[in-house]
Amino acid sequence: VNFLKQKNELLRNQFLRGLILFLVVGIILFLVSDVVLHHYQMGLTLEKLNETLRGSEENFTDPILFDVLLEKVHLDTLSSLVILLLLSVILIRLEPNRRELLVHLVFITAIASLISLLLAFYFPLFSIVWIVLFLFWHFLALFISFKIIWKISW
Amino acid sequence: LENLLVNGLYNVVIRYFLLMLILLLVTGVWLLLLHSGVTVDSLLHYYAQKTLFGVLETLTPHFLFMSLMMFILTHFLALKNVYTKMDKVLSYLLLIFMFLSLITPLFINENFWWIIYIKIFSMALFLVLSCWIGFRVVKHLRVFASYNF
Repeated sequence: VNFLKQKNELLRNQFLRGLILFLVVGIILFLVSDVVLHHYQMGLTLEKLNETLRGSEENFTDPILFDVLLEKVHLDTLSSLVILLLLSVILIRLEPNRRELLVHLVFITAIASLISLLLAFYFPLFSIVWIVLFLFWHFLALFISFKIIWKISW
Repeated sequence: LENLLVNGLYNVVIRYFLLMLILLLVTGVWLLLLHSGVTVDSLLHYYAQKTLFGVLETLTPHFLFMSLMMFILTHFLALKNVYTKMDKVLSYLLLIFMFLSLITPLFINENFWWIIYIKIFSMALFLVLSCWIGFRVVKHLRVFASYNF
């Protein structure tokens, strides 16, 4: 894929720019719905997350089973890996010398959020860590997505 | 200079890819052992009592995504002809054992109980080869950075 090898070539190719635009719009839709889905399934407030992980006597809800949580982490690892690979490779092509910190930050927070969700099952302290990291890496991924759209649109 | 920066940043992304791949493999194996148990008998029982639909429910996404992930992993070795004969053999073996490990659960039942040994053997080799190839990719990273991609 020689046309992808240089930033200018990517920017010059109008057809490719259009295709990347649609890909990034798809990724933005995924990221937003992923946040909503996680709030619905796990809870992005401390109270709701603790109820999911530890159950609630008041609302007669059972705690989540560990294998269900592990399956969730397994799927989340796959989806975040694919999303972050795509976004970072496009970003590197558009801004090779300016976004190293952003690439590090988004990968580190995503990996740490996946591990902290598993730890939150055993240690309540990690519940808030997971919520913060999960929201933060989604925010960073959205920032990268909009940055890409801005770059290829102008 | 730009090429050097681009390749350096690609190496960063490849390292994170390998890290997340390890997380994916660890959670995958952990899930299997959590559902089936760690002994050969419990694994045999786990697969033998599953219906075809039950097996396919797990296998279908794995066919697609394991092929995709292993392609991404092995193609780093194929870039710019930096690969050795050993890289080639290891990559093909990885893909063969991956498919063997994926397909065998379809045939495990009370009569063909011995297939469980092929499943365990192929899965173990798949995991070992994944890590080995991961190390070889890291070893090649310095070479990638010097190429004019």
